[in-house]
Amino acid sequence: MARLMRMWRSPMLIWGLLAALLAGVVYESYAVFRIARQNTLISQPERVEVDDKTPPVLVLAKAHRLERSGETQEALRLYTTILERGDEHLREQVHYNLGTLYLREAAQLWNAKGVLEYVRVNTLVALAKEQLQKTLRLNPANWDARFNLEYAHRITPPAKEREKADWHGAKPSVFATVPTIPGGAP
Amino acid sequence: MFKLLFGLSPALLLAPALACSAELTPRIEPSAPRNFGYVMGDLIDYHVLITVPESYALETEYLPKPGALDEWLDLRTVSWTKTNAKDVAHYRLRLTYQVFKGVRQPEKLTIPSLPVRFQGQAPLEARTPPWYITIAPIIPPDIADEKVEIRESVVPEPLPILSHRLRLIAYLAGTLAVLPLLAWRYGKLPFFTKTAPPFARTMRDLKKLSRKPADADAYRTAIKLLHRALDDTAGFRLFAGELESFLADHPAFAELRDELNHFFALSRQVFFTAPDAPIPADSLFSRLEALCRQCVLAERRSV
Repeated sequence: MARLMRMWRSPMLIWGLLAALLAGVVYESYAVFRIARQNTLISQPERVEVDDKTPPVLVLAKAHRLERSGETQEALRLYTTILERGDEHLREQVHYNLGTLYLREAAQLWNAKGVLEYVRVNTLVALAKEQLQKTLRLNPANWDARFNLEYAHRITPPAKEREKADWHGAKPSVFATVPTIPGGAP
Repeated sequence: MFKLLFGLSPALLLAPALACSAELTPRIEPSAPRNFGYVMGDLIDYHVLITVPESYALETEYLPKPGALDEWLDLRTVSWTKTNAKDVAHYRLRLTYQVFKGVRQPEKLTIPSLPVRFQGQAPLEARTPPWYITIAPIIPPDIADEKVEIRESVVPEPLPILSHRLRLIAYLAGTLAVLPLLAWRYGKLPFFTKTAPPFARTMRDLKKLSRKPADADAYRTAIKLLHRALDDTAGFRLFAGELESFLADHPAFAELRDELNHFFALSRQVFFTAPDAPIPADSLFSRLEALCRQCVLAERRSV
């Protein structure tokens, strides 16, 4: 007990404790500063300058703002740059936003032009399904993704009918065209 | 009769083998919480209990691998447990599927059967039975496609900062708690001067005294302060004759034996032998400060 008391009153212990606490203060101050700055940029994504070192959450915020302002191609480009970055929750959000963006374009085309835009609608819906399925694999509880994926299935254009084979038999008898039955069989 | 026996002979020859394979047929008992009420994206649990002879072991490398089984069905997880009973082993397979089927009306779907292999005297294969579930739409079927409103894309939410703030406050509070402790430890806490160690307190007083004009009175006061610190440390009024017992009780001061003996000799000279004589030229105030500083270090060592 006396030894413990002596250790407790030792100046080295107090200095060590103070050093550890100051290290904690410095670390947490930096973390608070960094997160506060990122949160400011998330709320004002137009100020985000995207480069290789930009945190994925800020790229997501910027892409979302571009998507809302109608710059869908640039938004798509930014979303695809952060598909495999960040934690699971962030990746879920990126896949969901990307899938929803594809789906919205497909729905606009489908509702406006129908099967006339078969190829584009089909491609966009396939891309939307892929991204929304990835979202649900990451988080099955994402009900918005479930809803949109079901809608993607609803507007999937029906498969095109294959063109009928334009075959005109030239043989006079059916037996002549069936390989394993010799001609002249009864 | 001969013809009949001749005709049946292949069947008679195969009979033991057929009987053996009948014995080896594993018993398969599927179970699931329900087969209705599923919608897009749901996870579906499916359990299969397979009973085989005890000598047979599950070939785990042949178990179905998680992944997409179909365009609308994923196998998410496969796990199993084994329990032994009399002469048989029970393997409980737990399969979790995820369904991605989009429907306009409730539909019946078939979860396909999967192969499971066992290793023993002869290879043994079992198949989980196919399972039928009903899946329902999320979007009301009577809404036209063009009237359905797609769910909006998500805005990234602000990063959580509260935990960092709380930890920062805790660290700051800890620092604020430790700083006074440190100040007290070094006798620099003004409101707790009396609780500061004697020499640390005296050091501070000597520093204050050194700012005043250096005269004989100040020198004598400094000696008195050092005496008081020694008395407080010893717990009684300390005279030169008791210095050895003091050093025995406080071994941290032992290396200052010569300095302390010199101090007592100086004190005797200043206060008793020649009290009216001027302070000797070689007795500098700074020496008393140096002695006090050494005593402070000894005092810290002795704690």
